[in-house]
Amino acid sequence: MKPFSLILICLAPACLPAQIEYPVFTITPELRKHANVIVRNHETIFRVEADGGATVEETYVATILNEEGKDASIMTESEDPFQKVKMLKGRVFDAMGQLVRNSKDEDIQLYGGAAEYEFSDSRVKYLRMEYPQFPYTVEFRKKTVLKNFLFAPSSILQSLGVAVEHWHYRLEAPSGYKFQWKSQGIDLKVKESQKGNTSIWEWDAGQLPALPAEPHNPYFNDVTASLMFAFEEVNYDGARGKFKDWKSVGDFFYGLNNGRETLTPQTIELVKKLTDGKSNREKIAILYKLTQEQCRYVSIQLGIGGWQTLEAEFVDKKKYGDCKALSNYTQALLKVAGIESWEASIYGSDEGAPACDESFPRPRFNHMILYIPSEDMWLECTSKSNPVGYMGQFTADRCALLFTPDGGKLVKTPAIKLQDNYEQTTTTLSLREDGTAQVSGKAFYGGARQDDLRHYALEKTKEEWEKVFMQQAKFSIGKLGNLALDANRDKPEVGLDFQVESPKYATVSGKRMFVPLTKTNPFKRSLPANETRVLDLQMLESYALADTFVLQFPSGYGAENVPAGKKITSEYGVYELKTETLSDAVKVIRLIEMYPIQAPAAKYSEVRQFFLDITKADAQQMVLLKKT
Amino acid sequence: MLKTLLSVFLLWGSFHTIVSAQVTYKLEKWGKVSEADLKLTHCSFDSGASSMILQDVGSMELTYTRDGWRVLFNHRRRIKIFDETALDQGNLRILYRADKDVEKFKELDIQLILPNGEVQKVKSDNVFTEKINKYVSAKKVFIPNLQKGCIVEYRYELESAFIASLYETWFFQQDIPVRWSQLSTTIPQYFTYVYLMHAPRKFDLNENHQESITSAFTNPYGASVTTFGLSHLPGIKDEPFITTLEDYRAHIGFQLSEVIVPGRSSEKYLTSWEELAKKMEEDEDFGAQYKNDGKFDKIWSAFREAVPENTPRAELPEKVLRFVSTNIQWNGENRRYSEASLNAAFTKKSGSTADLNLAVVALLRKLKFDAIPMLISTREHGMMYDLYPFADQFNTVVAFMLEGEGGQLLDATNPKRPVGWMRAECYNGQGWLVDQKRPNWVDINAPEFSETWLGSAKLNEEGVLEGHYTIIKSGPAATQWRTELEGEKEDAFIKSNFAAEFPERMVDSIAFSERNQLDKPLKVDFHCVVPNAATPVNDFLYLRPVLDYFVVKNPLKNPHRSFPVNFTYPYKSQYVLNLELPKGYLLEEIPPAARISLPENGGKIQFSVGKADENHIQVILKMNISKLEFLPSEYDALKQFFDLMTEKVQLQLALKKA
Repeated sequence: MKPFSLILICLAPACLPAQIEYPVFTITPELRKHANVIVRNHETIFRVEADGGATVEETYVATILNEEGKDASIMTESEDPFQKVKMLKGRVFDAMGQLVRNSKDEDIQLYGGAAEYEFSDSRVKYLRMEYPQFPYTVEFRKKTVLKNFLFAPSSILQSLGVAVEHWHYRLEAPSGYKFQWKSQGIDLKVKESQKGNTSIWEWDAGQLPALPAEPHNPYFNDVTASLMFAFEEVNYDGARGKFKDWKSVGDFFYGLNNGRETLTPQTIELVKKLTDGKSNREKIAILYKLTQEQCRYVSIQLGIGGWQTLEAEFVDKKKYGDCKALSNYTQALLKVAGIESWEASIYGSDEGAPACDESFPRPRFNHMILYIPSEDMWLECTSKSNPVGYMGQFTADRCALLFTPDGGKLVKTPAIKLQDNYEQTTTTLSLREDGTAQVSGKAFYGGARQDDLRHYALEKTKEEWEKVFMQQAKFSIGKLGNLALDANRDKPEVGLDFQVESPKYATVSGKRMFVPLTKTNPFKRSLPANETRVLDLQMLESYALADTFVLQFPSGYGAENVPAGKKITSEYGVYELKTETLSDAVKVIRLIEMYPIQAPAAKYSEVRQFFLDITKADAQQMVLLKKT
Repeated sequence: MLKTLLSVFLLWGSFHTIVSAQVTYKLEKWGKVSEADLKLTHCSFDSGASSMILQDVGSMELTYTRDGWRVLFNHRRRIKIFDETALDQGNLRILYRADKDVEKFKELDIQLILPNGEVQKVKSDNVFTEKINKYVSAKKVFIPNLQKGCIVEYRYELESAFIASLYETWFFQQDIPVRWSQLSTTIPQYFTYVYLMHAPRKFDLNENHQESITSAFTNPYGASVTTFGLSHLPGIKDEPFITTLEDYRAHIGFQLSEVIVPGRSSEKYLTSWEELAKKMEEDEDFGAQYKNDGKFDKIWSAFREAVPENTPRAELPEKVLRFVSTNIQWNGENRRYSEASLNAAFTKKSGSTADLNLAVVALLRKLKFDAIPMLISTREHGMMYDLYPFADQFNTVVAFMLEGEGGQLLDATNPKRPVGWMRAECYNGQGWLVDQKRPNWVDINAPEFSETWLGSAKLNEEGVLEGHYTIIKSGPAATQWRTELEGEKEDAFIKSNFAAEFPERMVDSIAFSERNQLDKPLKVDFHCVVPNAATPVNDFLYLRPVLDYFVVKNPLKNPHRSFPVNFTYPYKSQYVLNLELPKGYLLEEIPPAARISLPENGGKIQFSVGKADENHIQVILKMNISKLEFLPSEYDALKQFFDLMTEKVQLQLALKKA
């Protein structure tokens, strides 16, 4: 009798165990490979309202497998005058799928801090749902209301190290709503339907295995699959436009930023006085330097001020501004001197930029620069130290959108040629019997190789540069004798002159002295060992180095063993080391050219071996013997 | 440094009246700048500086307002900008507490004085209020029209309810040089404070007088007005191997000791350590948490389920520590008090150091161990004052278990840490036990961080070294490895933690011992093949025998140091390699053995290469540092010590073909 009644009791709903959701054991093994996080479900509904606003409802459920995936336990969303987070809730489940806890309103934190040179009216709401034992699952539900929006948010399906069980995106808009969409890194199909006056578009994806988080890969920001939108009608804080192609996108920004070029009468007079009778090139150089000398970078982003520049008069009076304001100001100065220039949007970063698609007008930019069509010249207006016409690696070789009076034009900024990213050095070492050495050097750097140094030469104190020099040196420096860093104001060139005492350059072992050949300026490149590399390799840095080292023997010493020269050529670059033994010194000449590398995964080991070979060749030493 | 300062005093003769050993600086009024300051081009006592604080004037006035006693803080600062590299001094950020009941930010005036003497008021459209988080806001100012040679001047007032600390500590010294800094305090006769200060020398100004205050809200009362001043303070910047810069920057802080209001008995704030312990033991968010079963019953019942009654008593402390650290994740916060309750932290699976370690105390007490919470100020938070019984000097809690004459520390912030140790930040010399019957300070010695490499290998003609290594990590080194090893593949871990300078090395047959015996050293054996351990050149093989060590480069890079070097743990490391040479090769010359010591047994290096026979050599490199603090006068010796160590690490031996 007892077992029967037990069964009855257990069938009653009140006896069922607590709701089990997202147990980890149901995840297929294929999805665990290379994954730090497995997205169980990611659903977004983007509803465009008739008044031009929108609501976004998002559910995000992720199982976090290890420490590397911890970032998935934090959900963030920004708030500003046009966007408010109406709801943000979270839940945590353990590995078995048991609910551990629900979030409370007081768990939501708000952060609005920025650097000392910035102020913005946007802040971030975030909710952290952690659990002490891996794996665990977090579920976030979020609702955001947009008063109006400039760019439709993209949906990231997958990043490196993230597998996806199920992803769904749904766009609802009034019938007849015009837009374009594009999936990147994945082939998505759309399902269209209608509900009354509302049109609905839906996309689905699932069972996406993770790609490993391997370094130096071609995925921008590690995003491997995404869905992007370009909505045609734009209405942002009263500014209207059509984003149906790049021309109209450019038109909109041109309209936002045009006509804000009033300058004070004093400035107008100053410009005329400084540029009277000069050639175009000279005028540009004078006015660019004027902005550089007078202004400093301060970023104030308030409301539409995030997209619209402050008036030129503002910068004129305050002598500060952000990239938009400074570009606009420089444009205004040039206009007084009779030179037409166009502002341009671009993605500025030393690590590269996302590619632009001619057929898909969805801007992904974070910076503004200035272009002068009559001279085919580009200006970086936020830099106090760049020579005129030079922008550096920050904005080189990538797409930019020009705001011209005839609408937007997609162009490419020039790349810095390999030969222009150069380094030429001559280093002389006077070795002493105890292994110490007096080291003096003269170096010239150009292009991307001088970007950082230029910043130190012109924008930091001598003390700060000395500290950095000491810290970055690859050989031991005891005393700094002389250290002079000079930047050419008109060309991207920097010269360095130094003389230092090195307490431990060579290693003395009885009557022998081991002397590294290039340690005062070593060349090292490496890639981690990986027999199973999955992702293609991308390392775009390219340069040409020519370095001469003269190592003078201490008196009473002669060469016992001097490495022979070595030349290593490959499709990734060239390394050449030449040694010449003289009576009391050894002269070493090293020539290196590194080409931009874009290699398939199958060639990874080959590239790694190339790096190992040149690093080994560069680390060679000579052995001196005390003559008895 | 003192010599330079004295000579500078003489130079300043025209501005200062030198009265005995004191310097009187003539404060310049708001907006009034001397010609000399307008023309100033550099700082005479800190030559590399690109800007300088000309005068920094603060006053803290304890006064009665309609909201009760409040501290009125007035601050006026004047900064000179020598060149364009200091234009960021024109971006001001003044932090204050966001809660208006706690702190009210009042007026803010800013002005710019151009090199020609023209004064430009900075208008309010250059001023912004930033809400950083729910506790802190900031006033941000972007000063327009800033150029080299300008002087920036600003002043503001705020009203704070932080009476106990008289608002907050005043720092005389900043990261740029300060020509004159002074703080005045106005303290009514009813209040007594103690001073917590650090100054490089006697104050240049130390003046006191009495004043009679009439107030709209109370009867007139007398107040003591004190002014402290220091001049010519060079800029001080952060360095590695330090507890916190704040311990070394000249400063003065206050702690309320007693309040005597006429007609009422005195209220003591700094009473005794017994009184403070009693107060905390009775506090709802502290003592109540581990004394009242109801506050931690959820943890207790879960613990009892996980650890049965028949568990041997000796194992219980370890089991308690393991239970708390694996069930509640440390959220990274240091707290003295449990904010929501121990049960709530357990439910949330996340808590601060107070939640975690008070839970440990609660469970241990329930198991009838003599467990007491210990308050500590972490290294980053600053020094402790065993002379003054106030709780604000501490910022975190650990658990302490008394056993006979001594005791054991327990810190549940890391599930890989055993009984007896705390995390690195907590080793700041001492800690205080919160127990009214035994409110004692305990001296805490940091455990030794120890690493050992034992290698037995053979070298071939091509320079490839092949053999076995055993690495042993003890003390906090073991905890660190155990923590980093979590979730990592063993071979990837060993690869990235052994012989990093030989990128073609390969390891296999990895066997860890005592991986989960958290109080024991962690040992790992592995087989390795290291190409390029030696480089063949003609008749020679040049070998670098020390494949791995504590550091490979000197960690002390700066040529100068103006405050002590402070290490967290005493350190010991040993490297022993027994190597079989390739056939036909001889070690022609044995490098001399080396023994280097730091004065006062501060540390030692021992290096030797020996020949077991013609075919076998043994290389030994031992290093230890037993002193934790090295004064600036000892910096050069310490730097040389590290230089010598790296020399031995990088040493090469010449093997010649016979």
